[in-house]
Amino acid sequence: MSIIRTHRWTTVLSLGLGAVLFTGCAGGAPAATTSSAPATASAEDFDLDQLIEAAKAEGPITIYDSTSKIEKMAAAFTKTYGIEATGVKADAAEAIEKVTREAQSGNVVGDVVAISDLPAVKNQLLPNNFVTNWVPADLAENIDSSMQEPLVVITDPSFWTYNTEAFDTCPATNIWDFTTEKFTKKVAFQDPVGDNGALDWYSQMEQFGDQELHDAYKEAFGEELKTDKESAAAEWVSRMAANQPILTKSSEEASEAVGATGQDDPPMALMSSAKYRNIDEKGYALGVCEGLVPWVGKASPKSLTIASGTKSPNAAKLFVHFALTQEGIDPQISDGKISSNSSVKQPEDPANVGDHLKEIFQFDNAGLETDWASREKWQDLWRTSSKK
Amino acid sequence: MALLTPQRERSTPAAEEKNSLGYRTKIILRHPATLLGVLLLLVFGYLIVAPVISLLLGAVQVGFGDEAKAGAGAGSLTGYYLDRVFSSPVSDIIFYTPLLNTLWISLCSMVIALALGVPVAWLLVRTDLPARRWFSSALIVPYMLPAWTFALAWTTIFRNRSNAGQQGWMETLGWEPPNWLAYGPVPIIVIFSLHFTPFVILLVTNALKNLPGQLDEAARICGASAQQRWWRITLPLLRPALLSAATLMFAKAIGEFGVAYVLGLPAGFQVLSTTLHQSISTQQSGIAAVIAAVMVGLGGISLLVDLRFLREAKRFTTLNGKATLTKTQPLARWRTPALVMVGGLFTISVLIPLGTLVLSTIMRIPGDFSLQNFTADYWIGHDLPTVGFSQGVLVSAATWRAMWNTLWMVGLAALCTGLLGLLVGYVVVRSPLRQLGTALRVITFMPYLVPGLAFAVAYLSLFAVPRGPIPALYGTATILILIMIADEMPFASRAGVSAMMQLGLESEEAAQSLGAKFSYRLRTVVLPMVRSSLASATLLPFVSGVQGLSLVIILATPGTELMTTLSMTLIDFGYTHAANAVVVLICAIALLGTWATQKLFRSNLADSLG
Repeated sequence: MSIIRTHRWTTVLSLGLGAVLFTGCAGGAPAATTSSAPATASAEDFDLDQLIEAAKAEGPITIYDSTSKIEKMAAAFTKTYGIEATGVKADAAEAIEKVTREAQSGNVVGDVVAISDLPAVKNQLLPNNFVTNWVPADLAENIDSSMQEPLVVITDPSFWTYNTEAFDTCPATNIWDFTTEKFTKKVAFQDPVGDNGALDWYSQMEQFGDQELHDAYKEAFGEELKTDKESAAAEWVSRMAANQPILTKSSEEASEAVGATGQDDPPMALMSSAKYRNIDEKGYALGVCEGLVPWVGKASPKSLTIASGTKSPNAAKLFVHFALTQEGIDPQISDGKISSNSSVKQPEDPANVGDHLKEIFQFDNAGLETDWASREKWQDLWRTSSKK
Repeated sequence: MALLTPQRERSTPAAEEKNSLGYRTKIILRHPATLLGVLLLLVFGYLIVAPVISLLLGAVQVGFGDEAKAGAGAGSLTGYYLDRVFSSPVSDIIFYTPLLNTLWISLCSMVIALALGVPVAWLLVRTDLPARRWFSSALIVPYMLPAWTFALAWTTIFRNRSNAGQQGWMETLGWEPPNWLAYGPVPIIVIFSLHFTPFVILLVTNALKNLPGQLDEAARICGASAQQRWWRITLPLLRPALLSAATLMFAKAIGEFGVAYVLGLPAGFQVLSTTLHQSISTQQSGIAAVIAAVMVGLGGISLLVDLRFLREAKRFTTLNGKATLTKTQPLARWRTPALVMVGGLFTISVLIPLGTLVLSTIMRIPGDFSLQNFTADYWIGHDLPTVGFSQGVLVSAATWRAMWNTLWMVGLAALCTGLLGLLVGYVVVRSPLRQLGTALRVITFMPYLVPGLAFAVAYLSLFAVPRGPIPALYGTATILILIMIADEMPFASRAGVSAMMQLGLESEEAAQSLGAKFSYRLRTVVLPMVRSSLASATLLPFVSGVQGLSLVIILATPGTELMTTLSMTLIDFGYTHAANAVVVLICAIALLGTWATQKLFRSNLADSLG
């Protein structure tokens, strides 16, 4: 009997010992690396030609971006400057993970990273010096100060959309209409609990758009908003959650929900302007809800930063500069995105983004810390308010 | 065997010497299996234990960016995440309700799969059901298809207005499916059961084939009725196989993500894997680590149960390798009903899902069965309106690239896994140090318990940094192959162990006494004798790897795109025709691989399940 017991204990002990030993190999506390970083702000006497010369002397660069258009942009960059550039599609979560790990291992692959999760960039990547922010001095005056730290390259508009086959004009006139009975189970958008973009939008609305929401409420219901929540934005989110919206896994699904033809009573949706290409590709009937008070949609920013350990800092800077010019950013803005450089002209696109520039809600970098800290709060508010 | 000396021998001086630690250690060190075992332990420690531990550590260490919330610096110990998951106002929503849902869904589907699989297995092995050999292979097919393809097929047929959008097939035919049928727990349970039934059929047919027919005949001679023989002889003898199947299914159901994601979200039905996914996609890695730890724990409980019954199973041998003549039972008037039932199962679990998928790739508008709606454009057309993927699936270069990547990477991983599994089996069965074998078995089974998503994240964070002699593997095909090997080790090692258990010592010892070195023995004696088991042990990893998604989606890069990541990309774009076509191709590859291996090596998928 005792032999068997001894065997058992030996097994347990050896397993435990093995586990402890391998803890040493296992990932310990993530440690920040320090490395020489290029200057965060650019000098007054910025010389583009000097930058091009320096860049050409360096090696090829890789750019991470969440859109497949980055491959076209990289090809155009190579064509213009002769510096080899490769565009790699990586969504925000992936890119953040890759940048972090690459910086820690010293094996930097992505020299320039475009990440749409700005609070993460501001609170995770920048403070730990995994990336650095660089704004080209010759273009800085055309970029709003709320979009410089970190540098925003484009904003991605999403619009409140209705089905143009079933309705002649938009069935909603006010953002608070979506919280009423008329729109119960008739609004579709991506599940906010799993969507950082939505959570950040709620936080930004609370910080910078609360007065407009109050005014819109008065316009819709004829009386002042009385709420026990912290803000009009929180009240709106809570009511939306309780109004049983159709939660989809992606903006693509939301566009199908609203735009598929042959529906008698289709819902409305908040969806990315890029999905308006489905009008041609899939024959959907989509139209922007014109005149919705106070905003027709929102514009989520995407940042462009340079990896701190890059071996080609000047080539990286040149790409950042390129991405802020008309020819550089063309593949993305012809799809409906908006350049942060206000001198870049907005081309024609299926959603006519150019006509709505003043009516969409813009984010402000000043609120990024609050956005980061309050994601859980908005998740919890949504979860506790929703009814099924 | 040299270690288990009978009681009376222990008292003599010679026996004392034999039992002494020094002597035993000498024997242990002499045996080549020991060195092999230690090497394997090191390899798997790096590939499996380290990522799992780093994953679990994330549950109690403050992550980047959470310093303000947790009130401590990054990397320090904290109870913040544990608190949020177990005892905060939202714990009910993010943890307890999903936990309950997960448990009862897994239990229900397990019970249904057993209730369906056992009778069907008996029909296939012990009766004269017509076409039973064909059914044996055909009914295994659902196991080779990724479970989420069933979910896609389900939504194509049964979707209703609660999610708006395109019409489902039932809707076009004029009937609106009720909410409880279209989404939520009911379809999830149905799909899990259909996906797991082949698993049960495989294990039980294997066990039934090896059950000595003499016991059954002896009972019949004594006058027992068919009912009595079934309940009191056959079923109890099947108990190890049934329990093994049940615990393995349970562990798999806990981690399954795709089905619950597609069918649960519209009904607000959350399970642990979907809340895990939510935390990962919102950068809440601490919460993700806690939930993953719970899932590992749940799976671990089922593993303990399985190990315990495996030990008990050794009490009676069913695998004796002797050819036994088992009489098949004539079904007489039950022939037609049985055939209808088995045929029905085949239709529901294979024909309808696959058929739906294939049909959806050749119909422009779903549900419209008029002739002009059918088109082969999505397969072989050019210049399609879908801008991101404008060629038909069979003519697009992206498809062939992905297919080549899948074949060579998954193939290589499967081969390595099969070999490693056999080596593990060798160590477990032959090594005089039993603890080594047990340790290896436990370690190689761990990946089964870890949700694929979490495992991949742990791999990414661990292998980005160079450790000692190993360079940073991040961004290479190597990391994909390594994680696939690690993930498939559970079944490979089980297969290896059962293959080695069947092998007698005689041939090896004969070679040893003739002076053959260990590596030579391994190459020329052991491996050739178990080559069909090696093929089986390679086949299951290959089939799983071809359809595996959650593992690779994080680690693959454009140069290393696999078929499953390609289909996910297409789904992201909303190009459902192309995505479904790629899924059909995935199924075709898995089926082709199985058929080829069976023909070439006369191997059996059942062998690889141990």
